[in-house]
Amino acid sequence: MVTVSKKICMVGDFGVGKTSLIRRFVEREFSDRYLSTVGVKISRKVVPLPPMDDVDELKLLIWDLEGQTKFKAITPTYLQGSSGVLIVADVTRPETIDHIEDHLQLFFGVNPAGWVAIALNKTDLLDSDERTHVQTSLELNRPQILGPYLTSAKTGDNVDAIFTELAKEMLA
Amino acid sequence: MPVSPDDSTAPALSQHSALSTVDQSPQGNDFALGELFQFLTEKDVRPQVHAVAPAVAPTRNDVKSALTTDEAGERLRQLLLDLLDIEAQQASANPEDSAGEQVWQLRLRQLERQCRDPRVMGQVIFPIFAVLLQKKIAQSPEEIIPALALIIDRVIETRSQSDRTALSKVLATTIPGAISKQLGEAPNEVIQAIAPAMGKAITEQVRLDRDAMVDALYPVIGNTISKYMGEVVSQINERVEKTLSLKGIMRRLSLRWQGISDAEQILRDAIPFRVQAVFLIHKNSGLVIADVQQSGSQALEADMLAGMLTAIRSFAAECSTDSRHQSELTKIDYEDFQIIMEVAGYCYIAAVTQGDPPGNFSIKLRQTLSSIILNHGYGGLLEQFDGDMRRVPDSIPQLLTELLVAPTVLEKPKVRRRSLPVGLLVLLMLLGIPLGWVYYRHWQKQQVILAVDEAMAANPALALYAIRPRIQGGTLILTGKVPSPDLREEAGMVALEVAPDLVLANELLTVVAPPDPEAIAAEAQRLTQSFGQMLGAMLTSRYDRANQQLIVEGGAIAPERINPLAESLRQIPGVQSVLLTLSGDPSPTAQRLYFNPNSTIIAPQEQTQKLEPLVAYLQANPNIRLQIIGHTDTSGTEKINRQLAPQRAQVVKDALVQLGINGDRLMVAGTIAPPPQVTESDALWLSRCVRFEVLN
Repeated sequence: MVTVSKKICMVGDFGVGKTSLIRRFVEREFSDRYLSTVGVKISRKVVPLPPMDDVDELKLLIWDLEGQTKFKAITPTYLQGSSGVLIVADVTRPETIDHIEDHLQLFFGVNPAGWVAIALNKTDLLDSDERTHVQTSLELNRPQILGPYLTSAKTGDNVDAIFTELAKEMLA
Repeated sequence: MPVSPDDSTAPALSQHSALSTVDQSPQGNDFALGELFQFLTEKDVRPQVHAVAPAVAPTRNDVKSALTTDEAGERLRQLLLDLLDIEAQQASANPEDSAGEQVWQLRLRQLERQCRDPRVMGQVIFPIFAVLLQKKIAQSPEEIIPALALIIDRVIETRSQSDRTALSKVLATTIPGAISKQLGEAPNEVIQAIAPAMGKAITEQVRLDRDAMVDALYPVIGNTISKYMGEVVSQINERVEKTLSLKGIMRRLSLRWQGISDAEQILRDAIPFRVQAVFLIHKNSGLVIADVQQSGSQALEADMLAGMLTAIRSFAAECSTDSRHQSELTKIDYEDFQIIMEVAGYCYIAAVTQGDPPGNFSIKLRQTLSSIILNHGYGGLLEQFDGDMRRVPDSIPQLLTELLVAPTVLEKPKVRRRSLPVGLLVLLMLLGIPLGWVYYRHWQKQQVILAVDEAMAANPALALYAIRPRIQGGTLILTGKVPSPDLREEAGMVALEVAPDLVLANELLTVVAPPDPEAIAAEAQRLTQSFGQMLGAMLTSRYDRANQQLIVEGGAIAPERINPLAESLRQIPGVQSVLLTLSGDPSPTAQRLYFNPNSTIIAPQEQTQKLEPLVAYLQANPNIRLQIIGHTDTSGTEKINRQLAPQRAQVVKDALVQLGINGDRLMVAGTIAPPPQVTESDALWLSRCVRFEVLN
């Protein structure tokens, strides 16, 4: 049994659904209650890997970082040693999508070789036309960036996919 | 009855009050009025209600006591009479409709209603109700139980509201029993029911009566505490005993130097230090590179713990006010355990420990981290650790296990070992130098004494006597006994020669031992024979015990040659004088020539001292002819001796011929028998000779 551990971080503005995405991914649960994350919360999820190479499973240590507000920036120290980052935005709040670029710069500033996945969350609140519009409006044609994924922690849409894809890239 | 407009609301208000008074009214009339009122209400005859109500209202406060059977019967009768009065009035009001039959029918209906009215009926059957109920319960209790079951809770509730004290009194006797029974049958239910309130109950009790609580818990807590304290005390005793050992004293001294008090150390020892888990954590990512944990204890979530620790470290670093100086978090202290961290460039060790960590532990942590970095740091393993456990060599967990198993044993025990022998060496030196000096001096003295002993033994005159030398301070003391002052002096001289640096104390006693005649005779004989052989003369000695005189007899020997013998003999203890009785002028023909064993060669001194005087004698007396007789000793074979004996005689004849003597005058013979005056007990050399006999 070969296990590889990887650290990934959740980055985004406050209230975009970072903690909810983790809860959906790790605990298979969703709650409408908003609980603000203070500092850091660490979760662990073991992702079994297909029998392709010699690694049997990937242990993801997911650092849920306190959301960025205009009063408080994300602590870059927490991003250190992170193989990947999940940048989350709220599709109902356009300013959170605008901030994706800032988060990218912050992460690549700390981990130039890291991988990024972009999650546009709360898509359950949009109809199908709006979804397509949101997804196409974001131009992120850069290497080491996956997505954007239209996710919903509430319905579970794309949640496993985004984590799994990020994990694959980090291992490759 | 007149109804005032002001009383328009009164009937509604009094309606229920009137109802409530009915069964309690002591007055027959009042009761009848109530019953009537009830009846009219059910008939919904509003005007009549209005009519009777004012009359009822004033009576309600007079209601007091219960009814009796007689009263009930009386009331029923009264009621019927009243009803008849009403019917009569109605009949008189309508004269044209005055048929008696109608009145009676009405009355009958009234009676029927009365019978259906439970209240009235209840009053009727009340006296016998208890009897009925008992009978019913006895006959078919299962019918009564469901009927009562429906309302029993409400009964209790109502009763508890109206008179809580009375109900409590009734239930008080049954509740303890009920609880005991339930505890026996379903203890968990009771426990779960009571448990949530326990804490609050105890708190409340403490608030209400602290002393009672203390008394209640004292036997339990007192024992627990005394047991615990007993254990601590016994541990402390053990420590104290250890402290009094040599090792303990050394340790105490070292602790004193570190400024740790005895009490602190004893307590520290009583709560043993234990390392529960050790993690090697990648500093940036917080990923676990390696972790080891004590088996048996509950395993810690290494990943989560490492992550949170790293986050806390990052947080603490962010909060650090001085950005130029990067400070590290080294310890997180909880009440009963702590996390001790040792940080290097790319990784850090976190040890979860219990008890007070000894000073050695931080050194050990540092040593372990150093070895890990030295052994594995250069390959980039630590810097570029990416969570791949396959790249972590086994030696890292092994090093961490060391911390777990022997948290205080340092990697280089030599350092510690050396420090102990230095102390011991100093101690040994302190004890050893004087001891060594004493031994050296003793050895030196022994050497001198041995040398003196050897010198005494080497001196033939002193060797016989037990002379004991010893050294005291710078003085050489000789003790023992010698037979003469001369020997005493001589012993002193010998000792001084050996040890010239010492002062001599000659404590030898001169003791004249009673001479042993046999020993004297033997010694004298030995000396005499030795001299005789040396001089080529046959000498004998005998001891005259009475005069303590030695008498030496033998052939003619010049006095100057025999004197040394006399001198030597006089030295023999117990010999007062020596008498030499030697033949005066010995004839040359009486001489005997002695030979060495198995030899036919004439010794030079024999030639000059014996043969040459013989030649002169023969030349002066040309008529003398000599018989030359050769002898041998008894050693050797007879055959050889038979040849040897005449050969020796022949050799002597040849020598005489060569010295100018005519060979015709000399006859030769040989014999293996000893010569005259020599016996087999005499020395052998006396037989190895050639002698002469004068032939006429």
